[in-house]
Amino acid sequence: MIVHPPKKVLIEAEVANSPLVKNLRERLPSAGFEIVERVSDRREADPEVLEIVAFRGRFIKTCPGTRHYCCCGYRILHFGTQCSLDCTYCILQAYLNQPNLRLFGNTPDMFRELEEELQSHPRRLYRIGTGEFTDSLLLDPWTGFSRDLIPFFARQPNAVVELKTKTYSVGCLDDLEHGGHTIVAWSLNAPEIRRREESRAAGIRDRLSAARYCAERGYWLAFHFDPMIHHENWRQGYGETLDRLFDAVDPGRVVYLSLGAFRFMPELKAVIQARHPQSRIPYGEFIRGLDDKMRYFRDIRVELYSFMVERLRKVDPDLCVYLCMEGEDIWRESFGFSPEEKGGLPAMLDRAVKERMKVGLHCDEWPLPSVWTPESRQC
Amino acid sequence: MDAAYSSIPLRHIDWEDSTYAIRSFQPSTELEASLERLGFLTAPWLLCQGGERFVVVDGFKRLQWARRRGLPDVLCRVYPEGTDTGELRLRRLEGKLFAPPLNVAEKAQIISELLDFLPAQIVVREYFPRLGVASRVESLERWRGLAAAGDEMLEAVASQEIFDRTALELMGWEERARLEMLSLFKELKCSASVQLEILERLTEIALGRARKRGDLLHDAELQSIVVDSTLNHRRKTGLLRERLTRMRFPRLRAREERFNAQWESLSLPGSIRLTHPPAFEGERWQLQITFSRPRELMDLLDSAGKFARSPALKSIMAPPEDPGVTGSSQRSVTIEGFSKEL
Ligand code: SF4
Repeated sequence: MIVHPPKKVLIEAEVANSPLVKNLRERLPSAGFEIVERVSDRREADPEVLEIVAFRGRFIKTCPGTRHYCCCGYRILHFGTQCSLDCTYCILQAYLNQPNLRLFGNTPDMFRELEEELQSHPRRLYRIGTGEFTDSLLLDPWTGFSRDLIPFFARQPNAVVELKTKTYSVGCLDDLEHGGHTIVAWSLNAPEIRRREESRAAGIRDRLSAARYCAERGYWLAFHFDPMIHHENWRQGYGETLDRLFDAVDPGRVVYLSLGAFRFMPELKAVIQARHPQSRIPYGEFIRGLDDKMRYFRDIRVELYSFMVERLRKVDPDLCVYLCMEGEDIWRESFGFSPEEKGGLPAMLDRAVKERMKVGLHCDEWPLPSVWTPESRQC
Repeated sequence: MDAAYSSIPLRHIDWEDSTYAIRSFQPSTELEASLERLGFLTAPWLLCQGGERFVVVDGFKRLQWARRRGLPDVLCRVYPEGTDTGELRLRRLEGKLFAPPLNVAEKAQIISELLDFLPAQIVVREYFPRLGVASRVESLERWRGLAAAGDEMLEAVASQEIFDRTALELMGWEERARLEMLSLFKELKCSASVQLEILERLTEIALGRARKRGDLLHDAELQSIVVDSTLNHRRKTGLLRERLTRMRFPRLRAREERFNAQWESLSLPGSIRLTHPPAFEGERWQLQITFSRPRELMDLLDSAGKFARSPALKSIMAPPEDPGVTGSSQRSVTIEGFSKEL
């Protein structure tokens, strides 16, 4: 894994005294700290800089699902943007106006908003994740953010938090009171894809060692084979990673596992070609999906998923396996059922949390009377 | 920078020196007709090389015409010996820029020359818009490459046998493959968008298979079309595009072919049309019935109803049993459960 500590921290004056900045000052003694009135967008990309800004939007967002594909009903805790692991396929490289690592320094506002949201719907089970716009644990050794986040969720009866990463930076999680409310999740891929397309991220072996380390400390786990890449010998590659995964961890500790074939906004193709000319990813058999994203031709997706589902059923027939942003037809062909038949994808995932983690047992079943709309329950 | 008008004997001109030439690669018939009618409207530019030796800076075609016509001398604008040649070239280029529209070969040469003595950013920012060229720094090297790509390429681009974007794209290709594509495009006589499509397909297929584009072009499945002298240019272009699309999207093509073969085997009336979702994505299929009289509609609805109730519809909508099977091997698929006598 190639992750360097930031050499320069640029801080907006408004958050100069925040707990996050305090942590950074302690843990990055040799970095330069500069306070500015406002960190502007459209800065030149500088991999050595970390920006700490005051965030003025909503910290909690809904998963960017679309009408056409089944959404998981996940919430995103937006705590920062960008990532230095620089996976070739990463969507974040298309956000050219904010190219640098950026964290939101007003974490007390974030926790206030979280508290209000969770308390306003005490019978709703919240599955909240932090790894949508950055890697959840990339900067954790220096921010120690997980040391605030994990104990916070341990106190919430109706919520679990998922930290999604491609690192092995789990040291901060060691002695925390997690109360069984934290899922540590790894994105996994075939070894060849990890080598070619995720070369700065931790190797598969290191990710799985970190997962075992967490499981030994009572954390729940999740895994995401996303993006799955159709490549030569993909069966062998994904099969090998699955074997290594369940050699390393007990499937009983895994709350859920998702599968998602690579999909991307059309604009990303030119960015990948320019930034990663050696990548062969853009030359797969992609078609324009119903949400206007490029996706592998459906028969290829079904093939990828069916292979994985079959293998996973042999490992643990009760493991909650789901598809990220796929249509009902793809579900039926890959699983033999559609989420609709099981009450919808959010219900399936809530059930997995309740059954495995025993969290939110008092919470309502989907469809939740107060939030049900055709959009929120797409399957 | 002083220059003086002077009548210069043509025998004092060094015709071999093409330092300042920007060749148009196009015939000058119209210019010559104008010269025959009106003579020189403006004076050509010469640079004195010392003594009675002059090189042409501007007006090559006109002076060549005068030479062919046997004129003894021509009134020229003469720059003295020791003139700043960089500045002179720049003036010459500026003059070109405001002359009649430039073809792509001329633009390439101008860009290449400008780059010799101006920073790239200035060329892009100030000269590209005047040349009507997209202001992209990344394309600079391609333009420079085009200027140096040899007469065949420049002639082809000047006469629009290949178009500017095609030519620039080809500058990123290895030389042998570039020349092969050039002669292929000359033969195909296709539009700019089709040229670009062919290049993009070849590039993406090659990159996806970790092969060289030039080698791919020699694969039997493409060569069988490329070298077939019985095909006219339209047919050859169509076949080539189809083959490349199939190579780029093999699974989708196979599924489309399977769908078409199954649909044809049903022999439903031509006024009924079944359309699959675009790229088979999603579940919205369409059945379209075209009719002129109520009675005809009743009959067609009857046929459509029987089809809808038969296993044939399910079968045609179903994904292939073995997704790895390619289209050609499935051409003979017929659908059970639906007979023609409907
Ligand atoms: S780890 Fe995730 S966020 Fe970071 S570069 Fe890779 S895909 Fe992007």
